[in-house]
Amino acid sequence: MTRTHIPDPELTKRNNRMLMWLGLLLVGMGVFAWALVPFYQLVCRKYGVGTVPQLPNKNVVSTGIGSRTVTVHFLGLINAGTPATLEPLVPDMVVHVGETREVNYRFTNLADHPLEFQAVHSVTPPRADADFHKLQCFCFTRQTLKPHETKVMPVSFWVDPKLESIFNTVTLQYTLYALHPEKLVRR
Amino acid sequence: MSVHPASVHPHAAETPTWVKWLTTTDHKKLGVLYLVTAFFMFLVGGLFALFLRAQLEHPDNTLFVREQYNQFITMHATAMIFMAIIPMLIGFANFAVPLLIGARDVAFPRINAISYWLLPFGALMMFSSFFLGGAAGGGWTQYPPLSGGMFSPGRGVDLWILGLHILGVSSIMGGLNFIVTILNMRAPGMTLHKMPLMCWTVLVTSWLQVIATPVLAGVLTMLLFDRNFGTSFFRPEQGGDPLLWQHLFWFYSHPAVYIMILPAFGIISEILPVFSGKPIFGYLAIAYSSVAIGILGFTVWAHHMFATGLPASIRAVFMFLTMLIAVPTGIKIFSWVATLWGGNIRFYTAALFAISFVAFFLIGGLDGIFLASIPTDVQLTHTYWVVAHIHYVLFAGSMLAIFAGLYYWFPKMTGRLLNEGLGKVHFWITIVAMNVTFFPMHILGIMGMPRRYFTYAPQFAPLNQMESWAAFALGAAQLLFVFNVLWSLKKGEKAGDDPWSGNTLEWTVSSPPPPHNFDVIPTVR
Repeated sequence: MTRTHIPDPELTKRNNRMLMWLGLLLVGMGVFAWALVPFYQLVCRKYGVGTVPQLPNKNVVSTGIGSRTVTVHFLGLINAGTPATLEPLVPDMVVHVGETREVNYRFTNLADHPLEFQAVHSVTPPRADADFHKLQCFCFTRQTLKPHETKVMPVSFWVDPKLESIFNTVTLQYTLYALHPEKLVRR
Repeated sequence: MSVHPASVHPHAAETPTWVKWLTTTDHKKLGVLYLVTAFFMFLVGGLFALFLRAQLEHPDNTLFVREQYNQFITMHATAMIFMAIIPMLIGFANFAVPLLIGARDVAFPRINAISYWLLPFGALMMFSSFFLGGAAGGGWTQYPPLSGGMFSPGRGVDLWILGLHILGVSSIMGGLNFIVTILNMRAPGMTLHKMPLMCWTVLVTSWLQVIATPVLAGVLTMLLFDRNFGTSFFRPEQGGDPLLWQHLFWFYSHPAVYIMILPAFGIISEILPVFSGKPIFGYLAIAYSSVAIGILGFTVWAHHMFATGLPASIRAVFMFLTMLIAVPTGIKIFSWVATLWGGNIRFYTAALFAISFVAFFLIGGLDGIFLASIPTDVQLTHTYWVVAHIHYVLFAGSMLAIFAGLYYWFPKMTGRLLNEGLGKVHFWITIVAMNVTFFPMHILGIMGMPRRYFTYAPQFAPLNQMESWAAFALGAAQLLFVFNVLWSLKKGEKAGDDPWSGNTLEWTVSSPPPPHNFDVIPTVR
């Protein structure tokens, strides 16, 4: 390496000082990136969006049954590659707002080994999610099915009268995710 | 002629030229190394593009299988974005910025050398995946769950992540260097408002690199952990969320779009006034609209996610902010047109590329507005319209500016002019083939042809066939450019210090400039 000029100590000092501040900014941005993860989950939980598993909201209780009715459709999906089936026992229900109802889903493990899974809910339209209250659900915890086992599990829910009046139908969908998918699919 | 300090060093004469190049910390040599390496990557990325176009020449082509096609499409985009366009622009910044501001080198020449050397190693890391069981195939955006362990088993995505980490570190160190250089090392009298526009755009780009790239590093690490260590940042079955990836990825990658275009704006703003014989129109407007683009660039990431089920109120805010970016961009377009207006334009190849940049980048801006608008985006997203848009922005935008810069600064880098005749042939084939390749993609997008698939329905065949043949012509034209460079290095016309009657400081010194750039640091008045 050849030096092409004589360094100016004053300038070197100024450059190093600025580099130090920029380095701090860099570290700050790195921390910011990781801090976005809990922040995102916080926002999702607050607004009931995203796929953060929702826990029962104990503070909200039904204040009585209204005359307005809402049609609730039920769907069950399996994440690709998972050897299982999931279906609701009824395709839809007409419910009164504030009324607690129960729907059953049937789970079947098609594999020769036990299947540990998490069902993740999603409500369409998304804006209705916050007004769709679940009291009991297989999605609150992880579940396990023995090889080739079939199990029926319930969800009990009520629809808040606060649900925006433009929504006459709400779709409740569950997606079944295997907890150790790497053990299921071999290519 | 100045005395090179190197020539008085007792051992200097014994050092072979190639060792001098490999061990250099001189910003000009590093700039040239960046440009040569990145142009090679441009050819590699172009080769992948030709594989894709060969596959799409007719429907149900059996040339490549689906997995191969997916790997080529991923590595085409990755090579072009991270190994070709960004490093070529950094190469220009390296070569030109210290000369433009009247400095002897960048602030940290050795950090600069490390930044460069990380580039070939990052590239090597990624390309090695082809020989280790297959490259990543999830597209350059690597959305989980597609990029997760279940749908992308094997080491491809892991090597892609590690390679991108290396390129990211290189990018960050480059950004740090240019911020300090531009803020601390300008020649006496060169206030920020007297600084050439190229330096303004490089300064804004450097801030984007320093602020946004750590977020990319974070999100890549999260994906690596999800794939290998059982974490669940993006795995819904464990309480993670795949959409979080899209938020974090685009928080980096939208500013990265401006990393790929702002220095190109700078190059154009240097070249147009020289060849139209007029000072740049709206100097301050161009400088501060670059700053505005840099700031707004951080507030628009979710426009890539209009179809993901975000609440309408959030989408509307992002639509508004995205449309707002058209204002500073429009200011630039009008300033460049006003610079050309009534000028005595000399149509050298550099000028032709610069003028066509203004024309065709505009198409990339206008078709982007259709994507910024939620109702049309929901129809057009994930169709070939998006492919048309990104290629009008990155090829008709960044690449045309890069060619303009190469024809403009080649004489300063080497002391010889590129052949004008060959240059004009290169220009015209490039412009015609580029438009025939990319423009019909708009029509295919409206017809509903989805992007990224290895095959398509028969009704899309005629346009695809035309695009494929034009793409091969586009590729051939770039080989002509390579020939021109090699020929002109040996036999090109001697350039002299100032072949274009330039306005900026680099044209006041010899071609190529001496290692210390200036015998006496100039004073700017």
